[in-house]
Amino acid sequence: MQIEHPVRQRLVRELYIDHHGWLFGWLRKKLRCPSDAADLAQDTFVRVMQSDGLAQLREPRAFLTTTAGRLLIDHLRRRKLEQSYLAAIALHAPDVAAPSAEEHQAALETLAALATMLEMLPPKPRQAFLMYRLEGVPHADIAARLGVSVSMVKQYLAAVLMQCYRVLHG
Amino acid sequence: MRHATLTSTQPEGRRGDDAPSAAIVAQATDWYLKAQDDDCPSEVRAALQDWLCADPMHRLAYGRIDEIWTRFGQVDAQAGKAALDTGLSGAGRRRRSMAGGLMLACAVAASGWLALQTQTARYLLADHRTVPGERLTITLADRSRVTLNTDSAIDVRYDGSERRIVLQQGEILVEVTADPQRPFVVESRHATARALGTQYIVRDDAVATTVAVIESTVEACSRASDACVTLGAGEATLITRDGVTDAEAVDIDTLTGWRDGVLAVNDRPLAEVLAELERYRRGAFSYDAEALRGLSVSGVFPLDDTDRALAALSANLPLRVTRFTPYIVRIDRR
Repeated sequence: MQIEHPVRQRLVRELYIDHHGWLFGWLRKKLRCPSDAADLAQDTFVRVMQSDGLAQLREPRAFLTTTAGRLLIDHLRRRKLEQSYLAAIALHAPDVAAPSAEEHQAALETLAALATMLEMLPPKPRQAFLMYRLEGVPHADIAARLGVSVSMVKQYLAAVLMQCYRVLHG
Repeated sequence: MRHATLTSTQPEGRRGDDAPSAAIVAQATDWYLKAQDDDCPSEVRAALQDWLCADPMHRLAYGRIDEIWTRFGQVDAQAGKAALDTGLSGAGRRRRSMAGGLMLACAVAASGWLALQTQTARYLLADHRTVPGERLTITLADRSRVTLNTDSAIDVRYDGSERRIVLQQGEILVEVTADPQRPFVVESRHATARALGTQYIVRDDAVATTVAVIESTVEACSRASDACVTLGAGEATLITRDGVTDAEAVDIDTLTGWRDGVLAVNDRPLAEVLAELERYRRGAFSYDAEALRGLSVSGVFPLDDTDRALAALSANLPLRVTRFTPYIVRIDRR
């Protein structure tokens, strides 16, 4: 448990008062959606609060735009991921009854978590894992499709699970 | 150190010595994958039980692997695979380039997640941008005008010797004021298009750049090689990483229709027209291009209201339009 230092609190408060309005404007221009911009501005300050080296901060604006820029890219990436998921659902199962809003949201949350676990992996292990886990393709068929040996496929599957474990549990 | 015992109230698994070692995680993964196999012999399953009982760390690691495995079952299998596969490889969605007489059908090259992120950043950090469905005309310091089409971004770099526009993505129409001292250059990922005073269009489709001239002449060059072609009014070229095509006559009214918010097409395949309309939408159309083969379209469609364009298409063609969300519209042949 990290104890909030009074000096740190004061720094963050000052940073917020001086820069929140400007940062919100910057994000709003990038996103053109005020509520998303407000959320991201908030997230940016949460990140800033957790970061080290706050006391040595020389160029707060550059620091804030870097932090906000990373969050912005994550946000857009996630939106893209969700769009391709929805498009694929529309394509594969156009006649299936639409899931409830809650089910839908839960699936999208899970999808984002899965993407975070998989994103650092090279394509072949990732494809092997998705084929095996989501499509139930047998080892031998995966090996044929990817042009590798069956034992390599097994190594891929183990490597992906261990990578997911590392992302979640360090 | 009496305090040590008093403060050891952290939840289990948080402290370093309470976490399974990397070796245990690797063993747990192997066991887990073996157990997934339906043909796994009973003596192996018995050995797994022994392994789990031997150490609470074994059970913890195995349980966590099981949680990960289960999470992958919580999304639609086919859609999840499609999204995670294309999303993470950055393959993006298929997009067709359609520019008058220059028709190009090709998938956006797999550019990698990193490249996608870089592209997103370039777009977001550009001097001027439009969102899908938007158009924007900017008057520059020398009175030259740049009109950005849907989902486009430019940076303006003017100096004493050159007027340069960097097209980060999308499509622009430039109306250049004459200045013999300072050439006007549009730079895209693949091409540069240079003029002294004229009107022309530059369109970047990720895999290729189209340059089309409305008035006067433009020199269009590949950035990868030194190949160039000089274009006159009513001519266009396509520039890819591999080179420059010869000048080809195009219908300028078709190419500039977007400036007036219309898409004019004459006997083009439906899938191609849908791909073009899709550029102007925030969401995606979902359709099977093979199933739509043989349906062709002529007409003028509004770009500012693609739902209306879609209604006009479905009124005249045997189509069924299903809306899943405002962002996902499915189009099937009836």
